[in-house]
Amino acid sequence: MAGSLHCQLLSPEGSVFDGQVSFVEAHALDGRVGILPNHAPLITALGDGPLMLRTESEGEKRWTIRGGFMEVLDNHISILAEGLQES
Amino acid sequence: MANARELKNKIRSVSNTKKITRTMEMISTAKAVVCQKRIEKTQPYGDKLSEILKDLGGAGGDAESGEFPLLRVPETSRREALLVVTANRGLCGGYNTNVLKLAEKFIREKNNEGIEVDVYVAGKKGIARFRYLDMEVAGKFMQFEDRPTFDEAEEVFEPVMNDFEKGKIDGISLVFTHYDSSSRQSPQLRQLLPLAVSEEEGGGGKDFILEPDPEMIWGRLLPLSLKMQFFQALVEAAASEQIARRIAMKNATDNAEEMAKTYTQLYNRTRQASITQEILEVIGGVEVMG
Repeated sequence: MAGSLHCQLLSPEGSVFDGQVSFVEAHALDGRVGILPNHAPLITALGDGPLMLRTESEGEKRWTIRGGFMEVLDNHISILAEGLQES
Repeated sequence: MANARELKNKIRSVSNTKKITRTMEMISTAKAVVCQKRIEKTQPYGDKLSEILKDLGGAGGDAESGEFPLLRVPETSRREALLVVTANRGLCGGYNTNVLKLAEKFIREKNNEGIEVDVYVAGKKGIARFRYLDMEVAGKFMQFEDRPTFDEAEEVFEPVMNDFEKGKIDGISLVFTHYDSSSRQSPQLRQLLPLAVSEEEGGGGKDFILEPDPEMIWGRLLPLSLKMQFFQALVEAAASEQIARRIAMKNATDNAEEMAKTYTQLYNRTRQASITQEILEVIGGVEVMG
């Protein structure tokens, strides 16, 4: 399946990642969620756990997130982390 | 007329002061740039948060259905909290005074209505002011310098928010210096809680899937959004402080320059006068002898 997602990863103190990705795996409150292109609109709360972005240019990137939110809308993903750390 | 040596001392001290104020001006200019960048960096997060809040309002996340302590709107208020953001340092013109004036006005008004106010003060200048007024302060914070972090903001804000949830207080307001643009900052009073109810119009009416459930999301999003507002206020206040100091120091430098010029003129005149005097005396002496 073609297509890609535009993903923005933000922390309160600034933008951490902004680019095209093909797949996102995040740690929601009740388990992991994977987002592929053309996902239905979604708002979910994130728990503490790993976040993985499969980027088109830099391979897989990983962070550890402490709480936050993810919104998926029209192939745009915004991830608002309350706290985050690169891993 | 003051004598030459006195004037010379004055010129020296004024120009020394000028050196200091000019340095402070340059430091503040540099810091202000950094702070302004931070404002820009925190903005996307705040914007996105309010966007999600709006989307959530439209997606049938019915806020009133669930029992949210944060969403309660008390009918009567007996006790409220006020967060005051001032600076740790002075020499920044009216920056601290303006914020404090607004804060004191708020407290007076609330007291007149019979509402007690828990005051939380950030910044040494504010703390000193309330000590001078002999007013009870619920919390003092001095850790915020020109680079406040989200974690620091959270640490301060969380207990106040908990008080509201538990019903100990019926409102939270915030006084800080709002940063409009690099040429415009003004003290601002903002009510954080109870929430001003105006979310009727939902954004777009998109059908969002809400995971795990709307209540959970509301319950987490609201505190985050409040904390973010407080954090942004701190960041804005830090930038405003640097700008205020830059302006104050620029004025001081300009004044020092003006003063040094006046004194130098005066000094030259005195010196000239004494030379003329001496010449006259010499000529007078020669005439008597000759």
